[in-house]
Amino acid sequence: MSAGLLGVYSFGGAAELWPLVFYGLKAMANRGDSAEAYVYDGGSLRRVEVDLAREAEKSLRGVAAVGCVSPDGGCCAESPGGVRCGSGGTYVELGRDGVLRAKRGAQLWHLAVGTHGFDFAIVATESAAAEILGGEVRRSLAPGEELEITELSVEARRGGLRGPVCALEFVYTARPDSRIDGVEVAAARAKVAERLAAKIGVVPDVVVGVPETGSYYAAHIAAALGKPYIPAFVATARGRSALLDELRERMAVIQLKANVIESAVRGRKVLLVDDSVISGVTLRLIAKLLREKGGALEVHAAVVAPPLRRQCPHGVKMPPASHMIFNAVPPDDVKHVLELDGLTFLGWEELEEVFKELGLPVCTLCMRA
Amino acid sequence: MDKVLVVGDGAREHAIAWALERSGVVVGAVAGHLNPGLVEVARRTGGRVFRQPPTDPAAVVKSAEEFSPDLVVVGPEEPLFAGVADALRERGFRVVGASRRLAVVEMRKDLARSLQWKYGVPGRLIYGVFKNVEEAYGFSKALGAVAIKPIRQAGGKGVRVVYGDVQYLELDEMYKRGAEDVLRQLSHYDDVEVAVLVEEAVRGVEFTLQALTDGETLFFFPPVQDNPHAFEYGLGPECGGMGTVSPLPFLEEGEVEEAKKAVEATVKALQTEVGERYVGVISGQMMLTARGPVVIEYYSRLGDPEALNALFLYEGDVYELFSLTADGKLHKAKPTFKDGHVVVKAAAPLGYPHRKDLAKGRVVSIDWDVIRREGCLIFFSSVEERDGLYVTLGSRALEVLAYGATPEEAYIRSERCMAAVRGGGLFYRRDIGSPEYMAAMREKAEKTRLVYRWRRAHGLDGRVLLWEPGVGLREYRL
Repeated sequence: MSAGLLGVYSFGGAAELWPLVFYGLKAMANRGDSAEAYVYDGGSLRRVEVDLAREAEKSLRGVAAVGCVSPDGGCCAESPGGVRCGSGGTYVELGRDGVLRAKRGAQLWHLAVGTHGFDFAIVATESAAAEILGGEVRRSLAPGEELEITELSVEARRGGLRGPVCALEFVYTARPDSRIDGVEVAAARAKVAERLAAKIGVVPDVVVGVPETGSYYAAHIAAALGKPYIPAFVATARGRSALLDELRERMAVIQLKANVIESAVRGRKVLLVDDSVISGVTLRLIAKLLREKGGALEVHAAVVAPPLRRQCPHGVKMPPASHMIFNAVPPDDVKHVLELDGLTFLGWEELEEVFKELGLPVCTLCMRA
Repeated sequence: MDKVLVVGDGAREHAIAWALERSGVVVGAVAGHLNPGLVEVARRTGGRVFRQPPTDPAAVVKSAEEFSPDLVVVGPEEPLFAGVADALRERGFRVVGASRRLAVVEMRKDLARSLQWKYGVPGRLIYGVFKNVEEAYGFSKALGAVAIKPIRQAGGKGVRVVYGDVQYLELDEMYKRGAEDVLRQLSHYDDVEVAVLVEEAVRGVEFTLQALTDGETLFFFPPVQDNPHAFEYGLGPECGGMGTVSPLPFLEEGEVEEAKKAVEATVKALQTEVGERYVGVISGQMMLTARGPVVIEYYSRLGDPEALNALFLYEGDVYELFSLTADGKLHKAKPTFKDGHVVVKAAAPLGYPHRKDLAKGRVVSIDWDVIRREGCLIFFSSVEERDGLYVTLGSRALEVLAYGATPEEAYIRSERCMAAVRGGGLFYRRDIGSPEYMAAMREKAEKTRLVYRWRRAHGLDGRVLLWEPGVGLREYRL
């Protein structure tokens, strides 16, 4: 998944930037637990430690700041000219001369620009971050567009061909309340849910979803099927397990992520909606929990993202191809391996079609065999 | 042939002169610098440019006596504030331009608000006036989202908007700094006491409603949308305005009508309060908000660049229109406007609006073939001509007007013409008038409309209670 990038520029000279930097990064905690930031105070550039878990009282006076949220940290790199956060051609950069540059690469990743009154420009991977900062979102940068912000000017340079956006951004990484290229992520997800619902051949008694993103899809699928959606899991710890490659680590996270509410599923035919399947280990464990602890009668699964088949050629961190269940098990056997009564998912072609209807080209290379 | 003297030296005055030239009159101007546009119109019509400060009543009267015009049109606000229209009228000139006492509606934001409240002019906002930072801070904190402004019009400068309703952002510093900046800003003026106006910050779709008035009738031009942020995508500091679009397909007729009523009521209230007849221009800088149209502030003149849109779209004879205004016969004027759309864009030198030292002395050239081919018009502002090139003086250099049958056509032409304006260190806003821009405005207007209609349907528009800890409860009836 892509890191959450943030840039803040104060047009009125040095100002207190800490609340903007902290909450701007916090607004992108869906992209990881590690945050870092750099501030330009009018003379020099320095690094600032940010702990997203603690709302520390801090002072950070400066003209401009950049920062980044990622799973493991280290998404900002210093250079003689300044600091650059991001990768894959999409970045926010703060020079030692105080110039803020933000570039959205031709493909895959997103950056939005917003404003807070006359005083601040805000650039962020998640457009919602600008709203969280009390500001207004202006627009998505065009793929290939670079924005250069100084005290005297904002220069936008548009460039070249536009490539597809990473499908996983839309399917589960991005905040649902963000907008990418004019389309609200939640609205795109609703369309995907509609498409998936049309493929489900079973009539469940109840629809449940896991994790948070899966619940959103579950609610839409339930509405399409005319069946109730009931929250059936309680999370103790939040965090994404799908893209961690250590199996054991993942199992530990699952226990913390989804404890089953028995009365929601007991004696019922359950449709479980998950946002993704890679190894299938999560799904298998949850199905097991639904049966053994919850007393579910049947567990049918609907998976939103087409199963991953290979590692991202653009460098998104993913488990090796050998850990992807559809590479190892014949498709018809997968549901038996995962101990499910049924399994429905979208093919990558179907997913591309949904986004095509929305006018959004997406990259699905990791979902293709 | 009749003679008209235009007071002022910006793109707005160039546009007024351009429109008057089309009426076939001799055009003169009182200008602080040799605006190449005014120089050209004066040359073509057999008039002349008096290089005198437009804000100096004695100098303007002297120029007028020399030129002996049949009508004087005062363009900018500062000459009005300085009493230029009054001085001209005293000497018997026919003038389009508010008197000093009436122009207070623009000059003093605090008095404009108090007038609105006193006479029940619609489109009011809750406000307070404070002489020190601490008091302003307390009131700001209670209101939450506020605009902090100097009580005197200061060229759009010094205004700060703080969305302090987002409590966790601890924007206390911004409230205080806003108030401090305003107080500092005002210390440069000796015609007003130093105080801060704090009012509710509203969000929505801005538009300017410009009108001529003879004190009885208001002649409205189609609404225009200005863009006050200096930089691309509406980022950066507030400035004189970087570009406009008109007409505004995203506004409903009823909303424009409401705004007209507010401006009309203002003229009435103002005349009652001051005891003088308003002869000149009155404009409402409006915003369609969750309360419906509200008045952000007033202009006692045409906007710049909004004047360009208004005068270009007007199909009648502008000299006749101004004459009817000056003679109290405005009811005879016919509101006929061109179909089609106008996009205006300003080109400004890097450094504008806050670093005029850097913005001076930049050289601009224009490829006139492109301008003619696209049917654009160029209105000069803060530049002077030197050997076919134009040298910037520190403010907006020029404005390009493009016309098209559709908003998109006007936009594309404006972009092509802007590409024909060349020079190191110039900037302009590409986004203004683009299809994305128009779509975003439409969406914003639609959402805002739903809210104000709902609020009105539920009787929520009447009463606002504001609790300021340590001060008490205030009730406002809107």
